[in-house]
Amino acid sequence: MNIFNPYLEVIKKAVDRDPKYTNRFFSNMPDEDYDLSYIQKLRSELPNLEKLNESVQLAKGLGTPSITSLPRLGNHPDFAHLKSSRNTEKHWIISAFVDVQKSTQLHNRFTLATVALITEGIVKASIFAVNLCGGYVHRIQGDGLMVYFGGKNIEKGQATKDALKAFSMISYFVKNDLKEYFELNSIRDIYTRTGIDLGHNNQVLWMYSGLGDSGEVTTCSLHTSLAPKMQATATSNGIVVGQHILNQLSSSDKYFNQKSKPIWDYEDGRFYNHYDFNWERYLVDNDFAAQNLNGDILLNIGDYSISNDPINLVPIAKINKPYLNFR
Amino acid sequence: MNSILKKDVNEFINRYYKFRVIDYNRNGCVLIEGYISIVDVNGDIWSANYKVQIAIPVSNYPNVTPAVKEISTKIERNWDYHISEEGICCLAIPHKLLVAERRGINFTQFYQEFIYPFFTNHQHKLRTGKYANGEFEHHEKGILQFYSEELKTKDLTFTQKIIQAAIGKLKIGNNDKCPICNANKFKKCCKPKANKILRYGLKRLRDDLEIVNIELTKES
Ligand SMILES: [Zn+2]
Repeated sequence: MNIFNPYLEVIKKAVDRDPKYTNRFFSNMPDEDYDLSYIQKLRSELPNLEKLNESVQLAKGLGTPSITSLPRLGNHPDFAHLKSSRNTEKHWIISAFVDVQKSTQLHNRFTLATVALITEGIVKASIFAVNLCGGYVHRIQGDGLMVYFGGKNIEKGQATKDALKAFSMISYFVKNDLKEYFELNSIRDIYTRTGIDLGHNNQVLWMYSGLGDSGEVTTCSLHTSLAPKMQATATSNGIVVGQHILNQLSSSDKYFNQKSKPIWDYEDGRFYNHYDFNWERYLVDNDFAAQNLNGDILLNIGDYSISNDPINLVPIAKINKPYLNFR
Repeated sequence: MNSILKKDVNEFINRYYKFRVIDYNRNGCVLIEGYISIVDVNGDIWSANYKVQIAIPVSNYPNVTPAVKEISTKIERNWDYHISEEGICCLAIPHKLLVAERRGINFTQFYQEFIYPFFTNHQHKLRTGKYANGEFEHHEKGILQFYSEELKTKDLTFTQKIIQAAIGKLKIGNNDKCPICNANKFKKCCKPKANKILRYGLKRLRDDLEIVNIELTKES
């Protein structure tokens, strides 16, 4: 079983039922004329907190502490004490941005309600992956997330690995599970882009920004600002990371490709570089995914081989007919 | 290292992330090491993770047969699993490997045709107790079985004559009435069969003829 299936199923239903899509060769009807009441029901089928826990347990094994309440947005729990105060605090953090890019084709084919539901499905799947890997969703935009990894009870190196794992899983979901289904329906061009960067203790200032209660505990940091700039340079389903991220990994060369132009000029002769992250290699190398005969990648989180049916081995296994010539 | 080999090896390790080159020249071979995980056609992942070393001979590439050594000992060292004590895997009947070698291999394709199916079939055997497509008997008996399947015959004398025709020991004109089956012009009946087995190469055919001859003497 694939941990993203509950999200994929809802998106499939939305596509299958979209009246504009099923009617696409005949009609120019405006969205308002279609009966879209089913969309609300589908939205409620996207996994809620209970399902989130189920999936987390499946993926991490039984005995995993369950998420009793999703932490409220906008107040990283380790810095929530800054809420409504003027105090500030310096502490390292990994900032990440992910968004869902949609082609105009998608808008032309489907009613807006369906496009919104597809986006919501991807965003919720992303929230799930971030929570599964120990990250904190700071803000939800319509088609994207701002996420923090790190805090006061975790090592930088571990938080870095967690962040890379979470966004690799998200990219995988959109590039593989979702794309496979969309391509069956000749829909192209829906993908995510991600930017991730790490700011060290002296580079990140935590503070409360806003009026009274309607504000958020947020970071002021060059590296929080660079993450969305990196995101903008990412390819389809690409992840771009800053130099500080790669410095946290012991064996990094095989996963990262330096971009030709630095992302930041300190104007003192120093530059800050950013890198394309080969998340597919990362997933496989760290056993979060496996590769089939052709090298295609399959997520290996929450998978149980006991229930596998050997009949599915046969088409590959029968290519081999064993013989022995040792003496 | 020749440029085709370099290109093929790079293509392979850029596609299968769990593999890396550990030596560009170990005893005349490029030595690759990595892990094979088995994913079935339903996309389900099987728990086995085989660690292997693959030696690709440098000279003569692409006309070579890579050798595979299973070093994780996930395969029991027992002839019934077609593996040697040291973990050398018997990937296929030599004839199939010879055809690939003589035609010239592309390493990625070799991996997909011989290496990955070998390990997939091991999973199948572990789960069901048998190989998906049966197996050849060991040693000479397996060779005889192979010819019987390839030539679709149970008649050993027929096999003997086809091999003789293939290596030129039995000279038959294209338009002669076929002395092997007595049915047709040679080019229309048995010549295509002789040509088919000629792909294994003369040396192999001479060895096989010997095996067939010995078996025929035993029978008579
Ligand atoms: Zn004939």
